[in-house]
Amino acid sequence: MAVNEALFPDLTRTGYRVTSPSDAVYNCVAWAAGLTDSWWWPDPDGFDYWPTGIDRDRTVPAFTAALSTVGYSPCGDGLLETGWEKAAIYATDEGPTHAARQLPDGRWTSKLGPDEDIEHALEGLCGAAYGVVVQFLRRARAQAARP
Amino acid sequence: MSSKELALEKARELSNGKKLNQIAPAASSQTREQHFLALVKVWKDERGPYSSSARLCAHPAYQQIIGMGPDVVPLLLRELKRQPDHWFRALHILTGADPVPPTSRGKIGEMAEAWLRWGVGQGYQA
Repeated sequence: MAVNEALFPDLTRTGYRVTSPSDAVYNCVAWAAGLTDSWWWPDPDGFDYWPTGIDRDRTVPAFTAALSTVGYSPCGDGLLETGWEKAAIYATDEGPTHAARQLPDGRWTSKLGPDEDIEHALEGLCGAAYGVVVQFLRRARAQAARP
Repeated sequence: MSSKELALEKARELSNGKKLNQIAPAASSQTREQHFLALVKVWKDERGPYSSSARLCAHPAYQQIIGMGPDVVPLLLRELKRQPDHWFRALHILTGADPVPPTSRGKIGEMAEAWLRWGVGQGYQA
């Protein structure tokens, strides 16, 4: 499955590369958490994983709380900081759509739903599909879970 | 009408509607299988880069698979064994079963194993 560049018009302009094959076992929120064995989403019907005790609401506070269970806490920006791993939550008017994780070189990595992982610029995924970044989080790199 | 019956009814309406009508309805088991595999391909090609499994499963091709009715369950189990994916909503709607333990929710591999075990218990050969 090729990345649908029509959905992300800024992706080509800002540059990206595919870093994994498609895989329906994990999604963007799990990947932001550093995991590749689960599908994280606040599905009200309970088909997806969501940390116990966190509201199954498609809201920024619920996503922030979910990622806090793997060591993240809110921060002010997506700038590279030594010793910190950052995550970004994208949202549209309907609520969160996507999460990305910062790499040690300052670029970002994302799992595109059931499709590939890509390495990209943060703004490359902004647009109608995912909206814009509405929340940054960070955790100490020593705390980061690893696949 | 229960939520499961409503979901099945919606899927049947979609399967009888204009969308995806280029894929002819199936008659024999062989053409049913071909129909199913064609819908699986359409779903995987068109479902998009979204992380809500509910959104992925709302795609018309997925709903049309549900609209094929309980006869499609063995094909779903076989596809689940071949390549684990989000077939759990369809299986639940079509069978009413819920064999996935709470601790396995969202762990696609474990959910697939639970459904395949359920299938064996029901006499299905995946």
